[in-house]
This record gives sequence, structure tokens and C-alpha cells, in this order.
Amino acid sequence: MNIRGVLIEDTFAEAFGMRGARVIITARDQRWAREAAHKMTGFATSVIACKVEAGIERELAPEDTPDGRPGISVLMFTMDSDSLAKRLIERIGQTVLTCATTACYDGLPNAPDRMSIGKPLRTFGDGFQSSKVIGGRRFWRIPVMEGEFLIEESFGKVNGVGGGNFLILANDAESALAAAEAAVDAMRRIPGIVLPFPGGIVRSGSKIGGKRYKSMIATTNDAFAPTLRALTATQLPDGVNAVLEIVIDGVDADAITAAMRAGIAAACREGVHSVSAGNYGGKLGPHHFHLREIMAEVA
Amino acid sequence: MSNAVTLRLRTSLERRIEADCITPDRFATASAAEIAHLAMWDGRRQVMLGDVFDVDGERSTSVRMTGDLAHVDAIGAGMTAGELVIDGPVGRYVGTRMAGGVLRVLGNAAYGAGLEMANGLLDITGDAGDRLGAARLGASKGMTGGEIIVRGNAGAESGTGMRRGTIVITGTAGPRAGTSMIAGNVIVFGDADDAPGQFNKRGSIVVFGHVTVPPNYRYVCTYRPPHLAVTLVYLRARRDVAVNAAWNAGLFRRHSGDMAEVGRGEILEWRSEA
Repeated sequence: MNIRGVLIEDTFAEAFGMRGARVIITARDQRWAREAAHKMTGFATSVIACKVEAGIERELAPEDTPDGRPGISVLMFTMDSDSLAKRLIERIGQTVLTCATTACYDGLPNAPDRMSIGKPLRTFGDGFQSSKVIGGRRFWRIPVMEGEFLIEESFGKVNGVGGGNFLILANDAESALAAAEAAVDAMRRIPGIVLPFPGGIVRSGSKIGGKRYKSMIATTNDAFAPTLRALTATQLPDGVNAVLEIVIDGVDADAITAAMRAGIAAACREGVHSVSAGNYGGKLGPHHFHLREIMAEVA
Repeated sequence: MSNAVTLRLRTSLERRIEADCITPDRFATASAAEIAHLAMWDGRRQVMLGDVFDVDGERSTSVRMTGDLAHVDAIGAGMTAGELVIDGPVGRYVGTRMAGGVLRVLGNAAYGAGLEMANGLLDITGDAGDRLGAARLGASKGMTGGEIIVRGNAGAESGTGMRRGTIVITGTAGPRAGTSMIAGNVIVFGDADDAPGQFNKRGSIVVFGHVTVPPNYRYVCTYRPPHLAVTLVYLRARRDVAVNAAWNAGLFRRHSGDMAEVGRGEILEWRSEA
């Protein structure tokens, strides 16, 4: 399969189940909502070391938020339910509660599976907090020096999908980056997904474990590292000198599929040799995203 | 089974009738004949529903009532589900102790609408009488949940003793609104001048018109309460209540009180555009 001269490899991305939450942060203006969202999603690229994967899903217009103010939708993912609640409490408590003018709402109000988030955070109010039920949803008013911080009591959680991915194999680093940027721009328009790595792009794709350092959980993906072509069982075709990866977490497999379709289509441009994907032979995760199936309607 | 049950008042009433048998959940499994045989009270005398109303339809949780029902009391008392629409004025105690469902009054409601209501929605397009959503006389707790929306004025002592829930009055609140509130919200788009919030423990009284704040409240700050923005968005989007856009931009003077009680209640007085 070729799209604009770019080979789509006959392979698949292997992804695994995660637990996900959507957090709506609103503020006086978009600037302060973004400040809180950037802080909340900082250091959240991979569960391997960050314990959580998170990113900004999209900006929200005032008419799309519970309080009629500008907002940001954030998605957070962990490997299990308990840790998702812990990470939310930590991060909202340290980055949203502390941020000027913000309020914090559940972005999955219809999810039947609930976590208590505002309730434990209310204790920051030291007994001066109060609650309000509005439209069947309970909110906590926590007094702060600026006035009050408002947070919803419970947040929904869903069975999400983490680790959707594809690899852009390019003739040179500039072409790889340009293609990856184009892919990220296209994918960020798709709802229900986040790209947790810096700028949505990973340059240091990894393999499980290490050949030399046995204690390592993950080490460099030497098969796709161009400088190791002579030393390892390379998977790089001739002429490929740089590879970048896009990693996707989503609220469900359909969202990942849609994002991969948009991203790969945008990445197929001059200077790109082929698009591949990372998998572990089907042993790691239950979700397999076959590139050629996904791109069939585009090709 | 029919789409709806319609009850038409046959002739205008001169004596009051207590009709707490009229609830959508009770009609859900009842035939037309069974509905017509439900008992109502004319003083000490029992009358059948079919003696007073023409019954059309059966086995439905959607109920519509027509006619001048100003002398019919306790309609929808204790209802737990379904929709009941009263197309005209209604008597006392409409929706008292209701615990679910939607009750719409397309006219005025008399004394005690939503008295001790626990859940659901009571939507009154006209005016409401005294003790809206309040406690029974002598009882300690009024409303414990749900929403009451009055798209007109309300009489005296709205929300007296309310424990939870929200009362929205788009017109003016009568004397002593929110007396002895334990918690919950009384939101008044118009004025609330005559001694609101006496003996208030943790309740919120929000007034967008003029309010005379009792001396047993203490002014604490002028700010923008974030929960009110959520409330106003909700009322506009989900309850079709006309909300002035300036209210979201404005500031509120917060008065804490009743300081003779625990002092954790509040009167939020809308002041101006920012």
C-alpha cells in the first residue's frame, strides 16, 4: 500500500488497556486554563516513570463548559483504577487548585464508574468548605485566598486504550520532524485522544527490557536507531536516516483508529520513506491497529 | 396503555378537594376504570376521582390535567416518577413530599407548593403562594432535595427549614424567604426585601434584585462565586430559565450569617457588572 509515494508497512500497532479520565479546567480566560492544564499534564509522558500519561485533548469554548468560561479538556490515563484516582487528586490538588481563577469539572459525567476526587480535595478547606448540588452533580466550594475554588465531587472513568502508535521513517531528520508535526496537527483535531509526549512526538522509541542492562524496564529501540544499523538487527530500509514515533492514548479504540488515520495521512509527504508501527508480536496488548486496514479508505 | 392520561375537571368546584391520589406513578398500571375509582376527600366525605374528572387514557406515567383546579389540593403529593402537567391554576400543597418525576403547573400554585419535597422537579409558570418548598408548620425540615422553579413571584417564607435542594424564583420573594434554612439554595431574580435568611445555618440565598440584608449578617467580601456560574448555565441550558448575561459578569457581595446561628449561611447580593 502506498499513499503519495509513502509505503504503508503491513504491520500493526499493539496497544493495551488503560483507565482514563477527562478533566475540564475552566478559568477567567484561556490563558489561565492553559496554564493549569500545562502544569497538570507536565511530566506525564509514560507510565513507566511518570505513573501517568496525560495530555491536552482540546480547548473548549465558553458554551461548551459547565460554567460558561473558556476551558481546556485534559485526558489522563493510568494502568489501574486506584492509581488513576491518586494521580488525579495529586495533580489537581497541586496544579489546578493552586492556579488563579480556575475551576475543575468532570468531563465524563455519564460514565457509570466513578472516582471520588473533589471529596478528598475538599479537606484543604479545613472544615470551611461547603458543597452545592447543581443538576444532580455535587460540587465542593473550597475557600482560598483568591475567593473560592470549585471542584466536582466525583469524576467518571472509562476503559481507555494506551500505546497506539506509528513510526515515521524518513530520509532525514528534517523530513521526519516535518511529517511528524503535520501528523500531530491533524491528530489534535480528533476528539478522545491525547499525544502524551513532547509536542506529541517521541524520538526515543523503546523496546522492552535491555540486552546489556537486565534491570532496565525499557531501552532504546536499536532496530530503528540509524546509528546502530551496522551493529544490530536493523529494521531500517536503505535511505532511512531518521525515525520519529507518535504515541496515542485514547478513551476507546475507535478514537485511536481515527487519530491514526488522520495522522498517517498527514505524515505521507515528501521525504518520508514509509510508515511502520511498534508491536511485540501481539503478546503485550489486546488492541491491534493494523495500518493497512486503517488506511484502506484513504489509500 | 395510552400515551397519556388526561383528567378534565367536569364543573368548577366551590369546596376544596384533596386529591393526593393523583400521581403519575399510581396511574402507570391503572386502567381508566381504576383511575376513576381512586378516592379523594371533600372534607370528611370521600368522593371518587371519576365523580369530579372525566378520565381519558390509562396505564401511563404521563398525566395532564385541565380546568380551574384552584380548589383541588395535594395534586402530585408524594409522586416518585413520571410527568404531571396541570394546565391552569392549582390549589394548595401541589407536589408536597414529591420524591421524583416532573410536575409542571401552567398557572399559579397556592400555599405549600413543594412542601417537604425530596427530589424531582416542580416547575410553576405563574406565582407561588406562601411556604414554597418549606417545612410543614411545626416541622423542622422543609425541602430535602430536588428543584422548584417559579417563573413568577413567591409568597412568604419560601424555603423555610429547607435542608437541601434549590428554589429559583424569577420574580420577587415574599417576606422571610429562607427562614431557618439548614442548607440548600434560594435564588431570587427579583427582590427579597423583608427579612430573608433569619436563623439560616448553612443555606445560600442569592438575590439579583434588591435585598435588605438583616443586621445579624456580616459583610465579608465582594467576589464572583464560581458555583453560581455553574448554576446559571444549568438553569439556562437545562431548565429554559431566562438568565441575564450581566449576572455572570457581575460581582456579588457576600454576607455571612445568621451570626446568631452557626454563621455558615450566606446572602449573595448581586451588585454590578464587573
